[in-house]
Amino acid sequence: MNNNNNEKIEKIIEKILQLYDKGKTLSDMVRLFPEHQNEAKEIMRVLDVFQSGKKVVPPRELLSQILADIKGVTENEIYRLFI
Amino acid sequence: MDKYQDLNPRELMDLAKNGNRDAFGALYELYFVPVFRYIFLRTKDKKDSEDLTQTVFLKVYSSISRFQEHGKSPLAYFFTVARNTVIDYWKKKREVVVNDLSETPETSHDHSDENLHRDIEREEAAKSIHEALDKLSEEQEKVVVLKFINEFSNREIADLLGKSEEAVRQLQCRALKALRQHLKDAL
Repeated sequence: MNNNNNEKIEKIIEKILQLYDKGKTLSDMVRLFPEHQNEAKEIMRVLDVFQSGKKVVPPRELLSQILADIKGVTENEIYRLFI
Repeated sequence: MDKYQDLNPRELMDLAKNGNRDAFGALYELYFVPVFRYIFLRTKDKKDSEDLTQTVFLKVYSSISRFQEHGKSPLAYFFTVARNTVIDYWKKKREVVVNDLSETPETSHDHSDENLHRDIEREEAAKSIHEALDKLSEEQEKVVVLKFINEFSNREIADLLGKSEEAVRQLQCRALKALRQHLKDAL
């Protein structure tokens, strides 16, 4: 029973990954699994959390600051910071 | 720094290892966003993510002579340093039980019941996934972050990690399965 369930989940995940690569939206994907909506929704919930991570953009000033820091100190000075 | 734009990351890393700081800068331009997003996913704190990103890049700079390619992209090395840095961060913050998820950028300011409920559910899911990521192998975690946060293709991930596309697909599948199970158990 457990093995069957495992295989079923793996097949759904594989199919979802294929659809994801084809650019399907999360809601499109749920509709494509009428018989396994609960399992599909559980996987979608994971992907949904990752979707939010895509919106995170670091401030450009941070990169400028890091590059300035590196230009301003020697490798030995940086090395000493972490030992 | 324009003359470095045509070089691939491995060529940039070679130059950087020989002390070329402009090549290092070009490499940082390439990896700044992926590394920051990875750290933010693991910390959910914007200010801490900025500090840790800075730490990661300085650590890579100080340890670049030890980088050995072994068929992997420099990004894999940056991610390993980032992962270890995040592990150190959580060790230091172990006493902090509540992780503030209120700064996630997708948090809606519309406080209708339905939206509030959805936001709370999403924050709980995010917290659970954050915990579940700790249980993934380093490779599974890298693959998931590269694929779903930074939108690399399977081909690109395979090249970055020195693996076949099929191996990358299997890692994604196992990681999603583990994350889904963790989320199911947690909620």
